[in-house]
Amino acid sequence: MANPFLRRATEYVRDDASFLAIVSPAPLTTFLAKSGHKEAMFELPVRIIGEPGSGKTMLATLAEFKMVETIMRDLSTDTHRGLATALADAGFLENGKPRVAAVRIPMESDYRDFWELPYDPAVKTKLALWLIQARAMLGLLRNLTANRRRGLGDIQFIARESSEAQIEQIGGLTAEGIRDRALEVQKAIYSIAAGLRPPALENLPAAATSPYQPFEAIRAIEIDWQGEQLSLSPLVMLDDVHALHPDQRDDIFAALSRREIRFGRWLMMRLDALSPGAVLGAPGSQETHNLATGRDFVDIRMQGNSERGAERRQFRVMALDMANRYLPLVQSLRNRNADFAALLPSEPPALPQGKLKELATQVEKEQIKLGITNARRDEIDAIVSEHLAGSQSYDKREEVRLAMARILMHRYAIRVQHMTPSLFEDFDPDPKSPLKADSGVAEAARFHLSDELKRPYHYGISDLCDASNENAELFLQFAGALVARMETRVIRGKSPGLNAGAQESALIEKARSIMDGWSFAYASRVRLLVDAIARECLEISRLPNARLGAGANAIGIPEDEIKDLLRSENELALVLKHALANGAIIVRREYGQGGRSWCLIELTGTVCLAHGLTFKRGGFLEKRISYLQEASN
Amino acid sequence: MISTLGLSLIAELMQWDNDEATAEYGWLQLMSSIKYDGYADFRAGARFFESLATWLRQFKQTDRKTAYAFVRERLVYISAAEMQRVIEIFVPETVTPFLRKAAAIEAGIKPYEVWGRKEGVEAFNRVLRRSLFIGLSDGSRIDALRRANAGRLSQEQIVPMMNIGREKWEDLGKELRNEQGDEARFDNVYLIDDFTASGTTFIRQINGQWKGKLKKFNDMICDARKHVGFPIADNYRLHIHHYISTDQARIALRDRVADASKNWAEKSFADVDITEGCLLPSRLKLTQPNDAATLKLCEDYYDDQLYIRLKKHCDEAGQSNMKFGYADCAIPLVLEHNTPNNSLSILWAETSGKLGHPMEPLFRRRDRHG
Repeated sequence: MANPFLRRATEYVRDDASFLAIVSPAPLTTFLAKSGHKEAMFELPVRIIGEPGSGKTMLATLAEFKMVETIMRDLSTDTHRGLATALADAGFLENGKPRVAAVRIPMESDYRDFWELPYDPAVKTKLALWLIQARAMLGLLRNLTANRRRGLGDIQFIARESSEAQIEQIGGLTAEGIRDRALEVQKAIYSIAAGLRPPALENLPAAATSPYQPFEAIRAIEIDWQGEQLSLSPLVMLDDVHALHPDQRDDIFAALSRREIRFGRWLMMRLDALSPGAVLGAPGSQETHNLATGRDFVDIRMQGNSERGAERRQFRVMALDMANRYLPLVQSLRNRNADFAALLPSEPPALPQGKLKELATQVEKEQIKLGITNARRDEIDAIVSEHLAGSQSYDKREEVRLAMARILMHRYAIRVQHMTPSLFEDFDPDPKSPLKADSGVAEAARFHLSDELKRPYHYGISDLCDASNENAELFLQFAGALVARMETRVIRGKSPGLNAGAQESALIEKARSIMDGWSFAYASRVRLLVDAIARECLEISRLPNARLGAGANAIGIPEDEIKDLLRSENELALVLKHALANGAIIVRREYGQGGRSWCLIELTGTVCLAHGLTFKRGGFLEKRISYLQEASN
Repeated sequence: MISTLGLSLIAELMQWDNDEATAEYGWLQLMSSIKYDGYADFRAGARFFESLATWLRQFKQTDRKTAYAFVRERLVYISAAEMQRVIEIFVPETVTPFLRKAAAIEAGIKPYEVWGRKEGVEAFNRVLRRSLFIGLSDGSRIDALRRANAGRLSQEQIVPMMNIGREKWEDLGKELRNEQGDEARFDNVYLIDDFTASGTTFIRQINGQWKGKLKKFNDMICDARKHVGFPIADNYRLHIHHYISTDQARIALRDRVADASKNWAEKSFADVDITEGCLLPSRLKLTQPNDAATLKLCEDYYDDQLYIRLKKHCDEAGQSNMKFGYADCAIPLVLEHNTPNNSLSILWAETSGKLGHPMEPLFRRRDRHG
């Protein structure tokens, strides 16, 4: 098998056993088990929204009944036990038995074609919806019988109260009846969309037009589970809903939001399926047909929804788990019992002695130039030492100490520049606000060392996770580039671990190739925009006094201006939407600073890596909306 | 299982740093797994990586980059799967369009009407059955051709080798007449071979004497025709098909066959078609100045022992050394079952260095001639 980290998507893993061997249960825990709407997820419509590669299909595939049954059949392995725990936490299991019968229906196939038929939108929506329902029923039956543990005779559907009229339309409540009717509906509707010429409305086959609403009629499914009757909640997971026409998607969503439906329904989609306002998180701008989030439907965002520090921590756990499952599949690393994090040591790089001496001389020269007395310099050095002694960072080498001292000297010089020198003594006043060394100064020092002396800046498992912006596929791509280099080292008889320099060069190369490969809508304008922002951030981060602490990786636009933009027809809103939906920027709304409300446009880890910027959040440049307009053209 | 030793050696020989090695390993592992490891004549226990390492080692350090770049950028390797594809497309892509036109003429309809009309389909089936397919060597892979056309071609119209005895001719004729009536004869004859680079093996003239497979076939037909019941029509159409052909060979075949058609005293066929499954373009050949560095490598790492061994054969092609392969074709081609001798000799030659530089092959060639 080639490098498994570089495989693009879950759909390419054909075999259930292979899938279970590499799948991480972490997305179930991260996005479902810890969700505030956990209880409502099998009753209300749920929109699961994420960037490409955030793990939507993986999640849906893992939750399908046949996969749950495969896991529960054999709990003797650690892998299966871990997955079972996560499934139970997410509500798919109860008392060690399945609670949900889920089926995944990919929407990438022919549903979009219905929108091109020459009928009223209501008719087109119904045709697509009925085909979805027919395929969902067939998919459910296939799932329930996939492991050959029961036949159709062992499956019974339970109707919702007062749905007598609908039971006949769906073929009764037996599995055979439901299957036959679903096949009939599927065949009739498929023949309409697949035909060379669509039939006139009055000539549509009866099977395609007579009412068919299994989602409304069915409330539960009873199956035989190891000799006992088990009642399951049905759940359909519509995957890649963004492939539908936007109007079609809205109509289907509205139809699935009817309150009497007891059939669970999840719609999994990319961010770019939403309007710019919804993507950029403007309140009240979602197309929700007067439905309220939380009451009538649930939104689960796979990125950028919860508290961001916690999100990063959650992702690190999930990413590391994935990497450790993939690692043994790499041929040359198979027998090494390797732990992924251990192969990416966070040991800080050391500057060569020559360069260190050069840096010390440079700092001394700047001290003289800034007119800083030796006593003040000693005090600054003491402040730096005190901070480093108590710091949790492992990067406390001499060069960091020197670079931090240099930053504090520049800050001191600025703070005392308006004070009047005395004629009779050395000019060494105390600044009005005392100098302080903190983690921001230390980070700025590391940035300066990277920018000026090419000392590695981004390395270690934490930086790798941060570079991925909570996107599983992106993480695997970065990890894949590192693993390829580890393989090379093993082949050449060296230990597989990569030093900081090797890690950073691999990550930067990968980040650049990812950016070069952007081919989504408005990609060229997005590239211009992020490059322009990165250039300005670099410039401000290079200031010797490190005005913004760790440095900048974002710009802030006044919130009012962004609101006006999202209300307008301006194309810039689309540029921002696609930049956000495809992992070029992160948007943070209503960020208060300096008495104003800002919309922060942060560069993602990929862009920060490619430009050598900090991953630390918070440093931003104040800009106007006109800047975005100019920078993206 | 990947060969870490082979890959490690290659990196040492090429003096790659880790980043360069990572990039090249990706390519090497991909290509060896989908193509090069399938080569039929590697030594026992060795596959492509080991062979490449041994091959690179024979070059001076300064020349290894050129040698590796040649493999990376210029080498054309036809894998077993690719060969299977050109065999499979022979009948649908080459035979069928021609015979459909012939069937249309016979049925008095337009070629595009053949499949739509009963008389067209019947005429096509008739014309197809009256076509004979003859393999010219092991490479014609008649077994694969048969399997790919099961139900379409009859066993009694395919002959695996050119040397057909009297008894076989009688059998072929008898089966054809049983199915198509007493007057039935083969109107089309397809001669099939795997590869031609120069066209020399197929037809050539030495000191005024015609030689090659076409001459042999023509003589055989002229001789067999004297017997009663010979199944090939008098003015049959001859189709010469190679699964893979170079542009140079196509031109040479066209000219020489035209010459032969005009000048042969006794000629068994009427018209001749020359076709191929995959035509390798003229730019495949290594030429000055674009490939100067690789051509120099061919000059510097050459052992004239190779020419001495193949002298008779080489002289017939009018060449005085084998630096650029037989008939100076200078092509960078390897077929999965053997490397053609028309390919650059640095690819396939194995010599001890008596008359020059000892040569180590990348893809060892199984030689028929010496």
